[in-house]
Amino acid sequence: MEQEKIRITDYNFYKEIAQTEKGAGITKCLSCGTCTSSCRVYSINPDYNPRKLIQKAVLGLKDQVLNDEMIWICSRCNDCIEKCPKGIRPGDIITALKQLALENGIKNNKGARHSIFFKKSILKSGKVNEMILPLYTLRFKIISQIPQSIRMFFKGKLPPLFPKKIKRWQDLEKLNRLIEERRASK
Amino acid sequence: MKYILYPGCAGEATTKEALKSTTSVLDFLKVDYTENEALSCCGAGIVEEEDPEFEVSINARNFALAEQEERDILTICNTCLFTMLRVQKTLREDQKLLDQVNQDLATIGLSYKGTVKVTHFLWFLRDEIGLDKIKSLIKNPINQLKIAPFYGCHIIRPTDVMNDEKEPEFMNELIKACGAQDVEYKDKYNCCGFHILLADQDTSLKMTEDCLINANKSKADMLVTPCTLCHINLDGYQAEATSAEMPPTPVLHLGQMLGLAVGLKPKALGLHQNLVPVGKL
Repeated sequence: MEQEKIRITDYNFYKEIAQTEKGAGITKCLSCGTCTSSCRVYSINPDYNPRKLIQKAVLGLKDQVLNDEMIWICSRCNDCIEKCPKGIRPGDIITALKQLALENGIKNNKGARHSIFFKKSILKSGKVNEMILPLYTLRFKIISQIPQSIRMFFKGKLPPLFPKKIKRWQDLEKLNRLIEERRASK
Repeated sequence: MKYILYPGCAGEATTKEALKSTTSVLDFLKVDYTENEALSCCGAGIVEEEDPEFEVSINARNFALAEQEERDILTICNTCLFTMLRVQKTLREDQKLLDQVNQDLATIGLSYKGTVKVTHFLWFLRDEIGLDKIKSLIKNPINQLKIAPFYGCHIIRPTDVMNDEKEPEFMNELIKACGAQDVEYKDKYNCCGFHILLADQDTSLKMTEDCLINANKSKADMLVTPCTLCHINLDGYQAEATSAEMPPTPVLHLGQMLGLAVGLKPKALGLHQNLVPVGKL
């Protein structure tokens, strides 16, 4: 692998993560690597390495970590959370990194788009538009989904292009407005 | 017990046969359930990445609507189960957040008291119906079949949220009750890869392939899963995930397996909608 260049170090990044609900455990990480050795995704795609991501975050490599698309490859199987000897919930720390990436405006990758679309879609109809979700996430790479979509079509299982709105869907808009107003006043 | 059946997004579209088979089995068992059309998506742990407060809020709204009807929530999706139980735990442990959420809910005429129970179809069969009752209902045992159980992550882990067995065996018991032989293999509690299907399809489908290969090595004729999302990868994407040499491995939904064994018609279980043909049983 190419030698990675270490440039920008933000010593407060570690504290920033520790202050999040999901990332609080980071202060207790021993970097023992149990998360990585128990990780199913790592065993197939070693570019996703939770220990390394957390260690980089501890070192303050904020830009590098938040821009690393690998944070979006955690399959959320929660195995590392079970196995971590310190109980620091490594998988949740990865979630905290995703939250911070979005907060910092890093939105132009598949994982981030996937996440953003969910709330958008729920606000619109109360449900996730499963027809548009892959398109929004994958963009032109949507071609890879065509064979599967054809099979689904013939089984009558292609999701509707315009999902039926849930009853009282306006509730969700109202709840969201209250949350956003609170956030703005902080 | 009275329930609101919460199928989750997949159960309504891409794995609609899961919903069909579950309702057929629930009708057969004469369970009192409704499908509430006001309930929203749970956020699948993905909304949490962008807006954790919104996730808590929409789930609390669902709980409040269920409490209003005095019904518990019954889901057929592991990820819905995990998301809802996680939000309930958060609200149980954070009084300030609960007060805030209830203040918001009051503006739409709702309140969350914390009385609604969230359960999964598999747990419901275990806790409310029971193995003995199920055994007494089997009319059409699916003999001569070897079935591998695929539990899926979000019905097991993390144990502090799920508050259930670490290594569940109930699906094995069900397979045996249905007359088939349960297959032990190493991916019984493993991850199917569904949640990274769009972010990294190659890795996701390799995870799926490994599960299918290992089940095949253990001589399983088919798999059974309680999770609609696992089913998307194991059945829906099986053609992409596996090589041409591997024999197709049908994957049943929990309701389909049980439905067959109690004598329901294949059509009522949506068997024709599985992507890997199930064949004659």
